Amino acid sequence: MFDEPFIRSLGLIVIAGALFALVARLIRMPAIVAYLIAGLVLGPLTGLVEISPTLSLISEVGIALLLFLVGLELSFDKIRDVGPVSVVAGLGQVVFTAIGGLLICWLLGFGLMEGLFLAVALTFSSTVVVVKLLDEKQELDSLYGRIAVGIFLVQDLVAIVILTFLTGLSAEGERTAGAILIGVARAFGGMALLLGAVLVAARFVMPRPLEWAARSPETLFIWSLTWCFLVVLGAHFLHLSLEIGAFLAGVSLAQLPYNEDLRRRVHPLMNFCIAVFFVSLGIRMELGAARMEWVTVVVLSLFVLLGNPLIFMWIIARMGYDERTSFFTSVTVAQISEFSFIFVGLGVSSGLVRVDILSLTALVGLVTIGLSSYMILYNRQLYEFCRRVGLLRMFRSPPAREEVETRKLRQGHVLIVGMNTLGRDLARRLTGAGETVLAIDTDPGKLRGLPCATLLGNVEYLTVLEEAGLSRARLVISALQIEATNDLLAFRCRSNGVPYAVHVIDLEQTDNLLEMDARYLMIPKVDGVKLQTRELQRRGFLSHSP
Amino acid sequence: MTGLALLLLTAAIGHGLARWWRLPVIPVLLGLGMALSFSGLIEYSTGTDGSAHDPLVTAVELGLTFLVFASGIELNPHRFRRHQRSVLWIGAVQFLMAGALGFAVALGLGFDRLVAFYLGLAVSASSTLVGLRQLRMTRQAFEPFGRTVLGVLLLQDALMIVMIVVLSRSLEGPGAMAMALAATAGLAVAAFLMQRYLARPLVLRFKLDEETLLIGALALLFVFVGVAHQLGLPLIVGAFFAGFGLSRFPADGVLRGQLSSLSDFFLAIFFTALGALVLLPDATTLVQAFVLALLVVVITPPLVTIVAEWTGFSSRAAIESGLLLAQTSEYSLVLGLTGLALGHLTAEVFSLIALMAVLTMTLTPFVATDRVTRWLLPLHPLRHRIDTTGAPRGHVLILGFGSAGMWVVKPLRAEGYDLLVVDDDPVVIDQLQRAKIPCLRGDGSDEKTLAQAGAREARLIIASMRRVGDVEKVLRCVAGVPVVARVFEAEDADHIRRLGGIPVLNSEAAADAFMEWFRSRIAGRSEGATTAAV
Repeated sequence: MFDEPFIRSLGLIVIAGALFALVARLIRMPAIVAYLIAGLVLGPLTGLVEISPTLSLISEVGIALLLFLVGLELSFDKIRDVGPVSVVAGLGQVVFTAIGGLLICWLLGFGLMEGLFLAVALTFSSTVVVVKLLDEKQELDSLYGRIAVGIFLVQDLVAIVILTFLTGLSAEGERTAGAILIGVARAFGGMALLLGAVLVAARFVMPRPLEWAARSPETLFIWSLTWCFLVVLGAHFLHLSLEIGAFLAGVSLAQLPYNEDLRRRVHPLMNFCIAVFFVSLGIRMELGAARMEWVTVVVLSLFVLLGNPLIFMWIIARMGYDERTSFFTSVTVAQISEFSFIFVGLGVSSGLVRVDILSLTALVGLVTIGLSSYMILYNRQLYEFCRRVGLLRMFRSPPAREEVETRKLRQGHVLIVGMNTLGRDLARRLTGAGETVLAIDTDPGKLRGLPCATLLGNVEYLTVLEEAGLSRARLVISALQIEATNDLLAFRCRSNGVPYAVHVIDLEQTDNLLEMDARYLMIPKVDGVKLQTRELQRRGFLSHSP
Repeated sequence: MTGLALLLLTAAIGHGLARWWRLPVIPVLLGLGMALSFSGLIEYSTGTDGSAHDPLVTAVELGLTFLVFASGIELNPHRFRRHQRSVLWIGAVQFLMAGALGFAVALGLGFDRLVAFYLGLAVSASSTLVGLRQLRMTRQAFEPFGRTVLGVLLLQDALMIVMIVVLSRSLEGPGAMAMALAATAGLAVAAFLMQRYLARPLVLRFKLDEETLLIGALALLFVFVGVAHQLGLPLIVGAFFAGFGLSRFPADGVLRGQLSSLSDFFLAIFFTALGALVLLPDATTLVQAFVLALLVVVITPPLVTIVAEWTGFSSRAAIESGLLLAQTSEYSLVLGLTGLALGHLTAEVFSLIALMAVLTMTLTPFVATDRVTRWLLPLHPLRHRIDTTGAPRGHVLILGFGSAGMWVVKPLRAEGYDLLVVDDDPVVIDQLQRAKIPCLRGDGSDEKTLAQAGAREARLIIASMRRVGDVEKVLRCVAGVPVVARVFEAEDADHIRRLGGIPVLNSEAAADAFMEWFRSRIAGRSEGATTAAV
């Protein structure tokens, strides 16, 4: 019954993705570029893999999870203030880039219809690429990150409108202008309806059941994913994009106290699916005849890489944002989107443009996604360079404010893992002794009522320890009764040179823990005897201290 | 996407119900998957004999791969090295005896030899996922008894993999089977070498970020799967050895968190999709499933109890182990699926195996309890062969010697008290006898043992017992005698106090000792100290 070709294809995708990602790490290449190259090798270069519907499904799941994570990061409060700039900049850029793109295409000798398709294709930036890179940089909730996400969501809506329009055009006059208008209205109405439903659910329906489920991390994880895919289905039903549905599902859970833990649990699954997405994107690239038209590719790519950010920078600067924020946001739009391929593909299938326009778009996509990944990852260095050579003066943006580190870094604190009686007791005593304590547990119920800072999460995830500031901690204590996790913590502490005290459940463990440089072993069974002796003395059963 | 959302929704309901009813999640997911299939809400697009691009098949396939990969990662022999003898004996005897009985019963039910062999195997192993859940709930996973049971479960998983290899070539003759086993051995050697010499340096040297680490581990999984395919072995054999190759610390530790996200997701949809593969059973299939499930529940406990006690377990721990292992394994489902894919089994037989799993796994939380253990203890034929020193009076009775027992005994002896220690561990009893400390082998919470130990006439009782329920039984049995009980959790201490006992909170004592060390070594900032309180 097994679908062996599918396992073979998935295997090749994962193996090639891992190999290129490892090499990319050595030469500091963004993982996205590595995945795209892996895809090019498996697809256009060797033809080893063909994309099946099941692989497409995994890619879609990856996109949904990525946007779900973005939503979990950005609560309604965080995106409310970037609403106006997102709408103005998102729409403004679509208009200006389309006009500029059309002009360049006309100069390059394309006909009106092909020029129009290419211009619109160059307009859209890739939500998935940018969000993945911002997530890697942990800058999704920075001001420029939030503006970028807002803009991409606006562009998603515009894309839906254009698709509705295009479907009307390609139906050879069967659909009237009125029907197209109804389609457009339905997109906006659907958005409003979904947003309303999600808001109501977030406020009145979800909190109590999720609080009940949160005491079992697996249940919370599965329930949240189910919610994500149900909203995605709702979005699909309302003719909205998968990205919008997943994002709204995430936003609706962002207000809950367990959103960070949930993010960490969803992350590995997203990483797997999104790697499949990017490698699949490379496999799908139909480079074909476009390789001969390298001048056109270079001109159009330069327009996307430089023209798009310039247009954007100008718009955002006009809205009062400082130079640095405007620059960082602008750099995020320097690539075309996977939607561009779908859009041109529709044009090809409806006979409005030639097939080689699709391969041209693919090549421009490959170049711009690859180069813009570097631009986003190294945006600070790029900004400093542009500022030094005076490239940014013409935008007359307000001067850059000092960068404020929004995340407070913990330092010199005591980290206690596992809030059983021992963990809670230690948290109280150490806080009472004037120490800065951070308590960690996977059960929100066990973190309640503690006098110190708390963090919900599983320390088996490195990101939890990073957030807890393990490397800057003064001491790490594990009160857990889970041997495997205690061993892992010992390993992490030793790697970071942080002293570690651990609860020993079984004396068989002691050698292993001492080997891993544990500074102190808490053995309650042994310590309890001392307390018992005192109790027996107090009650007159023992006369003196042994 | 709709199919996936439906599977996930079903899995979400399953997780909720399992949490509400305090059941293992696997039988609930299987049951809901069956309900989906019977109601016609979901169906496999081209039946069960060959279907490309069916999302349900993909769900089953990916879930199966991750399930086997994840169990391979847990197979770290280092964890069970001190219990090797018990693990090998219990695991092998249960596997062989239960398998042989299952085979005989299946033949009796009218199945042919090949199908009977499959059914025999399906009842021969117990569920790692269910066993682990029970052990975690009772906080026994890292106690010697828990380690042994886990070792047994993982050994049986490995045996099932070997049997799947044998069955996959069974129709091609002994030569083909031998070749397949040789190929499996080759793969095992490659995995062993990787576990021993490659995985650890790779993790330590490259210091990969989580994304690259995860993709790297998955790439390794697919490399092994690919090699297994090239060698003509079932794909899951590759997945299992890929996991085994990463089972050594720190590779298993750093990967566990990353892989748990994928496992939770794929296992949830795997078991639901697997349930959807089950056909609506007719009366015959139902009866056969009941008979075989009954065999598992009735035969496994005595079988395991006898061997466990022979390898040194106390009667109570041996019975507990038997009850804990009285269900079929998730690997029985893997076996059924493989048989289905190879054309050895019909969809009806696969349904029978799945029903058996649902029945036995659902029963486990009700069977593997302290109450059932106590109910069975009096039936144990060897139970009365206990070493007795008569029933003393006015003595100090110590229930449970444990790792700190000598520190309890010494000051009391120095004060001149008459002592009697009750413990269920034969090794401890042996040590006590050599130290000439009066002792009695038995369960300290059992009324008869307490009577033999003269508990009601004792001057003082000191209890250091694994479960607070045991202390509760002692308190109910010996009204008027002061009972000092060492416990770890504050709520347990409150409970003991309410019942009239004198609780000593081990965790409080550990916190006292820690704070003393902390003030002198950390708060005082005298870095470089390497003191350990051992």
